[in-house]
Amino acid sequence: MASDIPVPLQLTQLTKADFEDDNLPVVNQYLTSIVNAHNALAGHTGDVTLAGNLNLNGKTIKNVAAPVGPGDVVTKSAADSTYGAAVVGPQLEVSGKYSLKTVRRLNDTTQREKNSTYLNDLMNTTPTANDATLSATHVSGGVCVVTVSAGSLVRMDDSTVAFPERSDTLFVPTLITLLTLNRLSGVVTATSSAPHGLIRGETFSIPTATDVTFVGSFVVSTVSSPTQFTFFQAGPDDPSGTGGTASVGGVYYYYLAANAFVLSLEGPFPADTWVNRQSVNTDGNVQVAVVVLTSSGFNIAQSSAGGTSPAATNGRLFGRL
Amino acid sequence: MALRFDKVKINGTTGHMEVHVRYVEKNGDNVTFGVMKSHGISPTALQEKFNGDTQLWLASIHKEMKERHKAMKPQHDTISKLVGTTVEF
Repeated sequence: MASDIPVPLQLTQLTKADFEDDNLPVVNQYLTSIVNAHNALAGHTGDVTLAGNLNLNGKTIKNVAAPVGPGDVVTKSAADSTYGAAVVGPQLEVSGKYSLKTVRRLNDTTQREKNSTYLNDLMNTTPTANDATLSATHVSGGVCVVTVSAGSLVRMDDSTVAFPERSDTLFVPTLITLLTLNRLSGVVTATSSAPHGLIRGETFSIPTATDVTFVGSFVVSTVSSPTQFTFFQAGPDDPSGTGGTASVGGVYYYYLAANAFVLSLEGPFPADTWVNRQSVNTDGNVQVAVVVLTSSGFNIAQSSAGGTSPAATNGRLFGRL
Repeated sequence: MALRFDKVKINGTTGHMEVHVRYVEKNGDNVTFGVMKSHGISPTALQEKFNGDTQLWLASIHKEMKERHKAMKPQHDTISKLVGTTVEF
């Protein structure tokens, strides 16, 4: 690259003798060097190469072509179309090129939220405000009829929706008598007095047990025999635990779906847990009542609706629904 | 006398059946609709109580809705006649 840099033009002091030759060789040689230097600076011989920096003293360079190579000057138009805010902005938007850009001024009374209806679509957990009551028939033929009375529900935005009465004929869960419950390294082996009928992966609950540490809701891990199955439960080893009872299903949730005015039913669940309640209270569904059936029928102590206060002995429900 | 089925639902997971019905009373050209109620039944309960016969279940619903309508109709009639009247208490 050094060879492209023009050699500095030396000032030549001409003398009278330089003009005495008819061909004026010295003069012509000097003029030739000046002309060549001028043509080189004008770009007639190719790219103009400077030996030093170009200082325009604040002036602009005009009519520059669009950059091609990596070392080319970037013009304003090229910079705008390649790196400008209009180009880079959409690439920084998570929602893409056509995202809606707006702001809400929180203190602006004309822009303030004027109702809370949007809250109706949010997931919520009980308690909710409704005035339904629960009733049920005695167990007959292995079933009982549960009735949720007509009532009204106050939604999150304080609007009220009335719903009609609903009755369901439900199968009462069979109680499995467990002779022994043995826990070893977090695996519990249960032995029943009669064929339990459970299958691997089935959810069940142990409502009563001699050793209360076995009480809870579980999933069948393995079925060793028609009268023996295992499940996982963390806890200290208890190789000589006595028995209890196991039950499948029995918990039902009544709810109003978003924008609905007729009760829906979900169940049976093996136990009334917050996880199960939340699985029902999604997508705008609002729980209205919990019904717990045991082998002896409707369990009023563990069931509740908005107009039915839970029994004093019920430690599983948290106030009115 | 008939039952009007406003809606029927079958749970795709549990098979729980559900009907939304109202009692229909026809008297000449007059048709009176009773108050709506939902009835549901689990497949196991249907088998245990009605031997799997859906018609028996629907018949039991019809019977209940009819009695319910008969019990409530006088009250509804009393209320319905109040439109435009002034009653001293």
